[in-house]
Amino acid sequence: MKTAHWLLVLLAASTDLHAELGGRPMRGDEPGPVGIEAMRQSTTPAGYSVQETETEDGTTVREYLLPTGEVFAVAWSGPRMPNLQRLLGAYFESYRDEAASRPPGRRPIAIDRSDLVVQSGGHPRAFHGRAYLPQRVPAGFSTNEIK
Amino acid sequence: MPYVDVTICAPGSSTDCKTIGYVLVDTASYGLRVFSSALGTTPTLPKKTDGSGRPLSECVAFVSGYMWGNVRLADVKLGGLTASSLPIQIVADTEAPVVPSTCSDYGADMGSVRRLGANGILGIGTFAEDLGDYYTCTGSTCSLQLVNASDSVSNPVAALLSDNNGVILDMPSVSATGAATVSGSLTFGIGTRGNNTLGSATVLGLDLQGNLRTIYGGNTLSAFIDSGSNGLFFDDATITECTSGWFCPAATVSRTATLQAATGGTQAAVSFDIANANALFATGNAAFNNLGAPWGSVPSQFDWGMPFFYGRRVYFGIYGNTISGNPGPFVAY
Repeated sequence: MKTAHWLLVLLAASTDLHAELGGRPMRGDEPGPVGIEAMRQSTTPAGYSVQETETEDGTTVREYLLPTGEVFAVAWSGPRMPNLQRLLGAYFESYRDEAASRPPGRRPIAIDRSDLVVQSGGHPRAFHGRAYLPQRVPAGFSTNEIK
Repeated sequence: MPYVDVTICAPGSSTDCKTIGYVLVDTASYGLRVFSSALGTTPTLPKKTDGSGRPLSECVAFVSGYMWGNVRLADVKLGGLTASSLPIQIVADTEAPVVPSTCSDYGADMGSVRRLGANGILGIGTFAEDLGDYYTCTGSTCSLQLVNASDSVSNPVAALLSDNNGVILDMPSVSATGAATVSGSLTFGIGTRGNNTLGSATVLGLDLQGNLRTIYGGNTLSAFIDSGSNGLFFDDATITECTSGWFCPAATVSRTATLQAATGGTQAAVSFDIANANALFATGNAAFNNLGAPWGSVPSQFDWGMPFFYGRRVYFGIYGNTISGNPGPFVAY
């Protein structure tokens, strides 16, 4: 009950902000090819929280939030690719340019910079990936938890 | 990468046709996509319309980016069989609306022959439907539409009148230094004729995402068998990686893995080698059975790309069919 109340406050506060890495999480009313089935939020003992959004076809997006509400990591998996521009925000262009520079052939895309890590792989019906901001990850948080 | 010729005709015509070469055979996607530039001005393919007569456009997402174009109807001829009036995607269709932002939000534009390395994609994986995004557009304003499965771009094999329950990709062996070119065969139908029986192949059931399991290095991973991947992609910290991102061990290393059905149970051991990618590329060859690179993401997966196929006859049974008692989707070899 407490978590749900907190979520409502968060939604109201983020009305004018885009959901993105380094910014606010998704609100659940963004247009997409498939409707939103459920949104859940949980807060961990470590102080960060996870907002999980699941679409009707089973594609799941997890956004990892600092106590300030800032998204420091995202992860996705499922039959459809999520809207990466919306998830990665200001970091989307880095991802797009990396993908565009790759030689032909299906293979995972990876960016490993001091300020940005992105990993994306899979195939139609089975996409998954994750992205995080290494400099924003809370102390004591294992990035292996981002999945 | 494996290529085939695909002959495309205007629906019902035997003369308004064109054969397009260098179409990528992809066992991990669904539906035929052809670049407008490869198709040219003939044949004349009618636009697929929705129930209200509005032309349908499609956006399809891959890891490497998106493809955008109109949906058109074509008779697609595959090895003497025909998928009639099949919706296909004409990528970068000159008559397509401007790409909507919800499509370009998937990443890089894959809408060119140079970017794909092929004139199109023949998606013949283990499902019929492609799960693309469909739009109708007025001017530059496009809106998402729900379309029936029969109206969407779909696996041409499933649309054949016979031999429509799956495919067999049969590739010869290549040596440890690879081959410049290799000729294999793509057979339509499994257990429908004398030349496409399952025989003693090991049948591995897939999940509804088209994945199975691979046990490697003590870990059980999600995995897929994919002719559209040009290497074996998996994580192994004991194999040296080079700056190009491929594995480059000083000397070729041998590994074993266990392929397992998605729900467990049936399994089969696979032995493979990983050679130095720089040395392989220096041969000038293109077909390698020992080319690999790290998967590099969490959770770790195992992508059995083209190297897996050399020297094997690999069956792909389509969802909704039961073949010799084996329900699709499955992979067998």
